[in-house]
Amino acid sequence: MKARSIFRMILAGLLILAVLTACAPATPQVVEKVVEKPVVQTVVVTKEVPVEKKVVETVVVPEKRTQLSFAGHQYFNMSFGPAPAPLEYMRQVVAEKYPNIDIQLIMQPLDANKWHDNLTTYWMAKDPTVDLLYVVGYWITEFAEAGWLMPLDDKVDPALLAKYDPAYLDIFRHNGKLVALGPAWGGIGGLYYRKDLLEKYGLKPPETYDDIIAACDTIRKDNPDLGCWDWPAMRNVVLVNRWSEFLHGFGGTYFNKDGTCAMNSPEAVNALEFMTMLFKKGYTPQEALSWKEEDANVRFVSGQTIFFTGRQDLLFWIDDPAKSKIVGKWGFIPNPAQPGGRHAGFPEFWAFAVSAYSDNPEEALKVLELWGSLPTMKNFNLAWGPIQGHSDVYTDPDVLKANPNLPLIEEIAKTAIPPLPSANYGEITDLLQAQIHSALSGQISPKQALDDACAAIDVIEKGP
Amino acid sequence: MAVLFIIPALIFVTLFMYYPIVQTFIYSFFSLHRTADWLNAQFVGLQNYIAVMKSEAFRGAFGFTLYYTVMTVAFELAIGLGMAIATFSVHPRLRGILRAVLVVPWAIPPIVSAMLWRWLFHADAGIFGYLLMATGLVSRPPAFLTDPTLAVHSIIVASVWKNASMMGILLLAGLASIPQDIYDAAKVDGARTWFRFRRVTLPLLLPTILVTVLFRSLWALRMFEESYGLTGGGPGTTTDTLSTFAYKYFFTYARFGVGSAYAMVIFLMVVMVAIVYVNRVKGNLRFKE
Repeated sequence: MKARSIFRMILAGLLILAVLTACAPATPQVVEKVVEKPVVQTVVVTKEVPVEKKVVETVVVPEKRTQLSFAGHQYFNMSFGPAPAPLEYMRQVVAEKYPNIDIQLIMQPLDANKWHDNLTTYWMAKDPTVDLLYVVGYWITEFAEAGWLMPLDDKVDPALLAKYDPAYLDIFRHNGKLVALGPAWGGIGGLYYRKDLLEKYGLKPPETYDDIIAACDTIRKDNPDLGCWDWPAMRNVVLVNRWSEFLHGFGGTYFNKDGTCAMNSPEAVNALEFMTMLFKKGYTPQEALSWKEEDANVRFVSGQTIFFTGRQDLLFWIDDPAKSKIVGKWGFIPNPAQPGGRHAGFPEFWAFAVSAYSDNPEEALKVLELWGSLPTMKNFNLAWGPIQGHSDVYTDPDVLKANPNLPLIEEIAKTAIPPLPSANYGEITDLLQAQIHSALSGQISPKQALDDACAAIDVIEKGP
Repeated sequence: MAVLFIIPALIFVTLFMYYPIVQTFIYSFFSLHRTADWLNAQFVGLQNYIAVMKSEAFRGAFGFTLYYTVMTVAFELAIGLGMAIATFSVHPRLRGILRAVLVVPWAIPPIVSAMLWRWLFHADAGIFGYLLMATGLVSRPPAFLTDPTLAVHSIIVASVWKNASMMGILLLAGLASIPQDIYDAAKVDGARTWFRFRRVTLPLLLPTILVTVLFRSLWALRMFEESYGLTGGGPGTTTDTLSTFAYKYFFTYARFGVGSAYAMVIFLMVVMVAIVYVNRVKGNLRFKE
């Protein structure tokens, strides 16, 4: 009974409140008017004021704003050097030059496979969600072949294009058409080694793969707990990047001149047999088959291993005593090569591109030019380290001061190999990941793995 | 009147459940690469299904998924039942706390849980390898995620840890619905604890067990995150799952035709499992007339 009375009282109270609200004077409405062009209007308003003076008010009519979506990853919000995080700076330069353009980050996964799949999902649905994107060189053939990237040659200022190293721009061309501007940042694979240990044992930095094995055998006689050679071999796209370096290092290539798969050539089989041997004989630990890049990085900088294959970005913090136990004890050289092979570094160069389905292509191009210009590229260098395609970056005094290892990186950059040139890059590399990983984990022979891979790749490339 | 109430749900289910299934079925008969425009695509009949059946990798993934489903559901049921009985036996005040504790592993997103287990199994930093070495059972940490046999069972362990608690919660609800007077009557008749469990608890809990096992089996057949997060499908293709195939063909390869055929084959498998279970459950449920 008591509860019911309380309920009735609350109900009556709510009714009274509703009636009072209904009887209250109407709240003035605020209406925002959007016009097409940004103009500053001067409106003369006459008001009756107590002193009976005329007052002139200036009213700024709000301009139309354009929101551009940019597909990038979480590192755009981080800086590892003296400059602000790239996204913060990129937004700042856009706000200064184009105050009516807002940049929204569409966060992409760090896993390149997932990122690739996200982008293709947008495009297959002809979805305009993404205007601008950060794109890696090895996706270019696939994306450009499908017509998902806007050609840039006749749209970007030629003076700006002239500032870029043509060799870098070629990475972002497909059938002669430039579809991305960069790199804004690039990673390239090379060989890190423990300089202190090699010097102690009177060994030279390795030139060939056999040199690495010989050095490990010598050093580990006295240091049996020390690892020999670490590199990330988890089944993902990075595994294919690392394998490409071995493939070229043994004299192999991706395709024959007639377009058929050459990844099961004797050289290619030798390369994969060598990689498999590293695991079988314990030169590379079996656990590396589940390692991503950071797992292998950590082991090298914590002094657990003699050699490590990875990208140059480790140089940015390898001498930071808070993060590294091998400060000043390392060297960085091009990856080894057997006689007949070439020193090969797989390039992971990232650039800016405009989606073919963007609803705001003109604005996106303006922003792309701004991001491709020197100030933004310099900020990338100071926030993330090299490699940038804009040549003026390397004459900037701030950049030179912040990058004492630049000459080393230039040596490694010369060993860049082309990524696998296929419009079916995602499918082929996924297939290779599975086959290579099966061989490395000892489930099938290297020859069988590559023969199976090539049979499937030829079907994918040329049809059944 | 009843029909009117059903209409909104019917529209919802038709739009978001049956329409995609029908569309996927249609796609599975066409050659669709980087486009879903099936009206302008080449009709290939059963060719996509033949490709699915010929795929060795798919057969491997089918074997792993089936083994994973049987093992995880069996262990989760046994552990979940133990958890439920233990929780039900304690003082009601403590029961609430235990229920909250039980739900924690299940509430963790699958991919986060996979990352957590990746660290536990890590050769250098993982606790399992350390404990095995510390106890002298092994001379070096086992390759939990790179040895084919160990990788399969590592995924199963991680999955059982995560999902047994969910089984426990559902079975706890089932236990709470068993009338206390049946237990009292059994006690008066002289039934001991094990006898009461076997002859009272289990038969009355059976409908709940069957429904729980049905749902968990269907989830297990569609498993993706645990394998992706822990091993990436490796070593080789050992821990590739059925769902991985449909995903890859749709999103990585952009081959909607073959991807749809994979999706339809998986769908039919899941439906068959569901039919078997539902028939079994029906016989054990007593509906009120």
